[in-house]
Amino acid sequence: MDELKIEVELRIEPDGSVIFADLASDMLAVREALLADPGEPLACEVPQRNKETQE
Amino acid sequence: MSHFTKVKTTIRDLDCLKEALKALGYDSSVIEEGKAIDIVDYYGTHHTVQVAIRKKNLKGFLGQWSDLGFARQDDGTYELIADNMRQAELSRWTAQLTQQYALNVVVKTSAWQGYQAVEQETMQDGTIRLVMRQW
Repeated sequence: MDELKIEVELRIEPDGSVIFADLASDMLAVREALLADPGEPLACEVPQRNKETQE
Repeated sequence: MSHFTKVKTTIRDLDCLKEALKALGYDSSVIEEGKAIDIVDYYGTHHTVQVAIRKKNLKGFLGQWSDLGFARQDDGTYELIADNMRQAELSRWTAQLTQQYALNVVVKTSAWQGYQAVEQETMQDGTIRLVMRQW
């Protein structure tokens, strides 16, 4: 039987900001590691910029 | 509809910071690390930092005037102390460093969750696209 593989795509912008698509619970630790204040509330939706970011 | 979350990166992990400096061409032999390293800026003012690169080892515009360092703040983040005579170039360099730092943090932290990077590409606008896979 094939193993279940989970893929997550991220983008790291030229200024170092990181964009998570459909923030998976596994990635919350990554998000927290990037923030100054790990307790900061989960934020915003980013405006969609191109075809790849549209539904 | 897909939801996108944008996180502004702040520097908190010294190991990832040192790896980012290496990626920008600074060998570990020129990166000093310690609890209280003294560096001096162009005006002769002393600063206490935890990571430093001496002026003689800095490349390009960075090495013109002063040492460079990262000073730990009360909230656990690190602030860059550097010559800002050429603000535009310094901003570009800081962005490159932060992007490389973010890449290191993403790879390191997601590895703890069982993810490995399986695709990495730099897009035309400089954005790094990364696909992580959990096995």
